Amino acid sequence: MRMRDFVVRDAINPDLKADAKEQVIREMVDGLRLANALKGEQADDIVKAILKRELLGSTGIGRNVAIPHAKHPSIDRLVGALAVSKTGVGFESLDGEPVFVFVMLISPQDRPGDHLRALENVSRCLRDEGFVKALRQAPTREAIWDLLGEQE
Amino acid sequence: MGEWREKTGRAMNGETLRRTVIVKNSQGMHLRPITAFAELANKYQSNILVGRQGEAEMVSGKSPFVLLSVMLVEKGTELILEAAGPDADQAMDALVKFFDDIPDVESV
Repeated sequence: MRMRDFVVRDAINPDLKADAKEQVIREMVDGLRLANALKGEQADDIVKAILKRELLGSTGIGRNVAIPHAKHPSIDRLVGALAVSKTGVGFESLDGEPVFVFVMLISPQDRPGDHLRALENVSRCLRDEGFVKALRQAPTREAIWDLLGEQE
Repeated sequence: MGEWREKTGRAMNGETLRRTVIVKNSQGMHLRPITAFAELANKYQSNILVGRQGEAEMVSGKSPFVLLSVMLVEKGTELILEAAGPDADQAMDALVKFFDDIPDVESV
């Protein structure tokens, strides 16, 4: 599974406005809604599910990246969004550092395997510091989409 | 931010304990149990390594980020744990027990 298989192109945001955890999650879910990857009535509940997951432990896994995620019964296939903050956001990360690159995953309830493969792919890509740096410097959605296309 | 090494060698002193564990919970090893595992491993001085059964790569059990490269596995997968250092026995007991204690039904 590759990033382009689940990241919704129109939900890529190269310049997040949000400067706090909850706002980041709302802005990214809103991006998925505007890209027609989610229905309007699902959005609020999905934001709640992702925030609830964050309460169990931050998905800010260190190295300035975070993978906020949740499962939701109304979703029938894995959808993802990618967003970059130019200023960094406090996300209670495991290493205490601000987060600049966010990859959001929303999974169906009954496919743990897909969720693990997506997480594995995202974490592998984000371990590449050159890739993370390139994402942070990418000026446009198209530039980020091109970078995703270069990943295995 | 400390440097997290992708691969670490054997501990300098003492023997290396090695155990195989099986992932038993239905959701598999997703992000939350992996970070909890790293937190637990960090409570011990010993060097902790984790790998997949049948694969050569062993990574530090104390870095959630590098653990993601080997530990995102489904139910039924065998993982290899190694511990070496002054509290290797206690560390290994706790880490093996960790796999018995992951709740079967939980959110991701």
